[in-house]
Amino acid sequence: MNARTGPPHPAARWSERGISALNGVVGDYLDRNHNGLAIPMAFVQDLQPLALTASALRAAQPSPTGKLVILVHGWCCNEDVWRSREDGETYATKLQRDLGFTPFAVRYNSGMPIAESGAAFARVLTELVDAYPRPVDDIVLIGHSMGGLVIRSACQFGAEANAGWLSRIRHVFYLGTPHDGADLERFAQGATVAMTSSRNPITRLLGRILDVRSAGVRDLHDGETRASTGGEDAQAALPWLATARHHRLVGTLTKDPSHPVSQAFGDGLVKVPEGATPGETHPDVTVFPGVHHMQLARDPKLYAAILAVVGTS
Amino acid sequence: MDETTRRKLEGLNHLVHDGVHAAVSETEKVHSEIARYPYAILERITPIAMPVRVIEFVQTSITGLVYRSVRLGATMASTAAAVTLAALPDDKPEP
Repeated sequence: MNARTGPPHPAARWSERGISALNGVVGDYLDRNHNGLAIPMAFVQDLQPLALTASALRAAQPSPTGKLVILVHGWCCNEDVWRSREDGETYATKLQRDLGFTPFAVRYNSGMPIAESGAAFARVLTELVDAYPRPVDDIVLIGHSMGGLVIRSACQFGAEANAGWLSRIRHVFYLGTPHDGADLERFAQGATVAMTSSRNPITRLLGRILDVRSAGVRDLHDGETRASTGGEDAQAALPWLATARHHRLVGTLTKDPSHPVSQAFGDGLVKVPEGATPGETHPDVTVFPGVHHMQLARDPKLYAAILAVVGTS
Repeated sequence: MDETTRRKLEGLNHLVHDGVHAAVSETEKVHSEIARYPYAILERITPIAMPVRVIEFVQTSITGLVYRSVRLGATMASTAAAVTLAALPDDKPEP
């Protein structure tokens, strides 16, 4: 809670959610035109950007610890996606309560190319660690959906810049992250091509409307290969940060993960990765039956799994 | 009004302006494509080809004027909103 202004008004939450959704759809256009609705990458608290100075961080976190947990939201969302509808808690605030982590969350323009968001996240993470009022020992990163790709991209930029925070990352959790690409975006791209090739002017118009999609969502077509930094290895998959442990938590629409609906649609937006037999736990993939894509960001069962991993290592 | 709110409202104003322009231009394009079909057929009838072309010219001129008027109206409304936003006083800094 912000000591000066109190908790944000519900209308402000809805307004910020709307702006974040707008950024997801046309965020690259907003950024290109220097539109005031474009969201800059920033750590946020109570809907407000957090100044990355020691005094501002101490005011925001009066009892900072050497262990940070950072939440990175997905496409068209903001940090509000992590809030439990029951108690307003997030995975980060729960880890603060249970294991003494200091919670942070970022907000960014999810319509930007994932590699650009990754570079921006690496930059603000460097600034946070530099300004943090005490040495940082451990970092846990939790990314929901596109947020997981932003984390992987940021780690690549961090490695290229030899960033000090990279070696402090202990665990990275990817919740419903489309590392292998998202079928919905593939469908949208196919439909766009088909509709804009039609001889019917109305169908072509609908195709052009469907084509108004941000660079961020287009990057979800190929997942990790589009989150890379470009150059000669533009089509190469992002490497997994070798010094951290990676955990992929995925959901399914139905309680029976072998149900054809779950097999076809996964959590509604992202399919269960190949190699993960539904219902079983793999070294890096855990399936949560009956947890849909958005619920992955605030589900008690996922938190229990995160707590078990972080608490025992 | 605080600086952040002002920037967002100005951004919304620009977005609505650009959105209206794009929507009107796309609608105009589809409209002219659909309207072209009957003229293309009628033009093949040699005795009435010339009057058909004249009628098409008049029709496209009128509809073009209507679409340009809508775009101009949107630009004027956007400019008025921008002037109004600029005239609103800034928040006074807290003592």
